This record gives sequence, structure tokens and C-alpha cells, in this order.
Amino acid sequence: MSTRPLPDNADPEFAPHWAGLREGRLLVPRCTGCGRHSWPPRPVCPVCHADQAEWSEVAGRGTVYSWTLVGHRTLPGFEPPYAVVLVETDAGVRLLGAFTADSGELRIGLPVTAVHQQADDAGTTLLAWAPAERTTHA
Amino acid sequence: MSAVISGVGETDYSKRSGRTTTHLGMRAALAAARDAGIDAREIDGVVGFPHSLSSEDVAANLGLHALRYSVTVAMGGAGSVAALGHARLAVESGAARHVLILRARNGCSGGRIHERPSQLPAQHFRTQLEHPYGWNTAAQRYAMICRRYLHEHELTREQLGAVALAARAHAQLNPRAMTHGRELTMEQYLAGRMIADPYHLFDCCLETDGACAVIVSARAAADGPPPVRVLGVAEGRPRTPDDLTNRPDLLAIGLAPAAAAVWERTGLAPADMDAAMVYDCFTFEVIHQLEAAGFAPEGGGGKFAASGAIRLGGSLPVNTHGGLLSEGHLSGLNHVVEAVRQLRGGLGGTGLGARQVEGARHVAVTGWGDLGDGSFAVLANERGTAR
Repeated sequence: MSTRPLPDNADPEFAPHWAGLREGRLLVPRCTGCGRHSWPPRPVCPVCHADQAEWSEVAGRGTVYSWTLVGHRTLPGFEPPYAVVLVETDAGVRLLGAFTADSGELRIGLPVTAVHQQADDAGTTLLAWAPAERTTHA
Repeated sequence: MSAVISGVGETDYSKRSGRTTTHLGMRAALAAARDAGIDAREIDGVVGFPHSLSSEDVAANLGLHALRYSVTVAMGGAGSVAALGHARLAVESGAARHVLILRARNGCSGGRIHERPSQLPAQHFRTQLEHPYGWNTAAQRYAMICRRYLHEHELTREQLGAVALAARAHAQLNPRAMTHGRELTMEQYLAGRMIADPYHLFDCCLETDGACAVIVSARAAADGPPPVRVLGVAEGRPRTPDDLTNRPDLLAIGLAPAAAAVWERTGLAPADMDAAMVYDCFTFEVIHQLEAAGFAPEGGGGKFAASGAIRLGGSLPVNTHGGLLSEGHLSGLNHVVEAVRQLRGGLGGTGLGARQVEGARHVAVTGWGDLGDGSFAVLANERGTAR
């Protein structure tokens, strides 16, 4: 692998999520049986065993649940140091992403908002997270 | 029919073996068979692991008379201790008489960790949802768990360093260790370059070429060494074992239920253990597992490690061979081997008396793997609690 790993936008398991990011929306599955949002997508709800989920738009807001600052290069296209953050969204699911601000600002519990970052010429779009006070919250 | 650990064996541990994993595996298996006092062709059961030698490889290369039982354990590093349970079940049920547990890898020369085929479950999640965000190695994944622990509990860099320094000090008593002759100071530890914060260089285990084998038999061969018994063994998994990101509690790991089951079944307690071999892929995982298995109170693992308790001479010597951090990375099967040697006694010979835990009767072994899978065993010699 010599180029930066990117998701397969056509992969049916995740395609609506990536398509949503391209349109500036954050879509995750919601179970039609118990109504829970879940991540990662699974064919059967592990809680109620309903086998149908619908893609549901959730707010791109949350708090940092955990994070790491990578200092050793392990993937092409990623130049250390770079942060990977795991954000607990207001919808309850946790999503990974890059961090747009200086890593020195990172702390667990930091309020963040989603930023949609185009990653290639084909329009592939990934999630990043920005400190909330810099965007929507004063 | 009771099961005993009848033989252990290994190759040299190095950065560049110059041999295939099959060759390494056969050498370790033959060494274990010699140690058990059996002809290797009598092995009739094999416990293997994904991306390692298959039971067919073993049967063909060792010329087994009759392979009657084989199973592949997919728990990453936790599989080595869990394998003891599978081997014991096979022997006690009569399905097999001599079961070989084998790990062989060119874990250094055969490609660095991020270049090798992954054993993790749910590769789809890894490649589609995680790699695009630059999150693809064990250090990076487990760093998220460690970071969460740092948020909930007290843990200092020096306490993590105490784990690395204890492992390195023990390795100085083990000529087989890859770091034998290379001591580590706290200054060096603290100056280690960042790998995936909070993990720095010396928080991370070695990458190793080599092989390691254990044989579990229906009884010890007449001319074999004193048998070591598996008093109790169990495996456990966290919620969502194929995904770290949405696990309800990142700090709830598979070892906790596994250890609880073994304490319950054996009637033994952490204080009964004379030593512990703890899967030490990273320093924090030792602290985390010491807590999950009940050796240290929740949130108190760092203090326990820094107190000196985990060093030879302490209340619970941990990884007296140097562990994955300082002996070599044989996916924790080398931890089982060290536990067996401690229980046989007389470890080390000339000038190495200090590595032997005098009078050891019970040694605990933990396994950790994949995304928090766990396994736990208590091994005992003839002085250990009879069951």
C-alpha cells in the first residue's frame, strides 16, 4: 500500500455514511426495532435483534472520549505527529476523526463539532473534529 | 485422565532468524518433545493460531502418526494461555494424548507489525472505518484505552516506567532475552521517542523472530521432568470484541471475567500466587491486567508496580524472563514457558540463581490480545494446591 488509505465509497455497508459526509451531513444507522443509533453498522441489531436499520442524520456535536497522538509513521499519507480522536456524539455513538486544532488543546471531555474534510479529487470526505468554542459555541 | 504440561521448548529469539517460520516451529516443537521425553511423532493434537503454522503444516513436517484433534484459537496474544484450556479439554476428554501448542513467527524480519497480515476480527471495520483516520496499530488502539485510564485514575510516566525497568532488569538474568546485556535507566525510559502517546518507545514490546512450543499430555512421560499442572484456565472477552470505539466501557477487558472464573474454580486467591507472567505488549497493559486479575486494586496498579512488588524479591515477581518487553515477543507462549520453568525450579544454573522464585508453587499467567480479549491460568507444581 503506497497511497493513503481511503474508504471505498461504494461499499454498501458504509456507502450512505460516506455519501452523507460528502453532502455535509452525518449519517449513522438507527435500528427500526428499538430506535437506538449504533456504530459501527451491523446487519442485525445486537440489542433487539431486529434486522433492519435506517440511516439517520445526527448532529455533528459531541465530546472527546479518548485520543492519541501518533508519533511513529505507520501508514502512507499520514505524517506524524497527528492526532486521532474518538468522539462521543450527542446521539450516543462514538466516531473517530482527525483533530483540526493544536494537539495541545486535546483533553477528554473537550466539546467538539464535526468538520467535513475532502480527502481526494473524487470527493471522498472524512470526519474531523474542531473544538466547539471555535465554531458553533461562543 | 488428568492433563499436565509435559514439555516446553523454544528457538533462539532474534531480530533476524534467517529461517522460515516452519523451520523455527519444527525446532521448537522438537525441543518441547525432547523435554517431554516423547517422540514428536506421538503428538496427536495441535492447537494453532491464525497466520501461524497450521495443524496440517505440523502433521506433515513432524511426520505425525495420527493427528486426531486440532483447533485454531483466534484471540491474538490471548490465545497462548487460552490454548492451555483447549489442550487440557482435549486431553481430559480423551480426544488426544499429547497436544502441541506452537507459536512461530518472523515477527521482526518478516515485516514490522503494521505490515503483517492482521489477525484482528472485523477487518472491514479496520480498513474502512479506522485506517482512513490513521489508526492502524495495536499501540495506537491501546493508547486510547490508556488515555481513558489516565482520565479516570492516577498513573504517572514513572509508574509506567517501573514496568519497563522491571522487565529489563529481569532480562539481565536471562541469557535468552533479546535485551540481555542492555540495561535500561529511568532517564532512558523517559527520553524514549513518542510512538502513540501515551506510549513511548520503551512502553512498547519487542518484535521478534523465533518459535516457542508447549506440550500438554495425558500424563508426564516416565523420564520427563516433574509435571506442571494447569489448575485452572479460562478465557474472556470484552463487550464488542470486534470493536473498541463503541464498547460501553473501554476499561472493561476480557481478563476480568477470565480471572474471576479461575479464582472461583480453584479456590485460590491472588495472594496465593508466587509469581505472575503478565502479557506485556505495552507497559500500561501490565498495570491494567494486574488490576483486572485482582493483584492490585482498581486504579492502584501504577502504585503497585512502582512499589517494587513486581520485581524479583517483591511480593509478586512479574515476568521474570523479561516478558515481551525485554525477552522477546512470542505472543505470550514464552510466558507459559517461563511459568513452567519457575515451577520446575532450579532456573538458570550458574550465576542465575536470582531468577528463580524460591519455593514457587503457583504461578499465574495472563493473556491479552486482539481488541481486549483475555485469558488466565494458574499453573502449579506438586507442592501446589491439589485438585
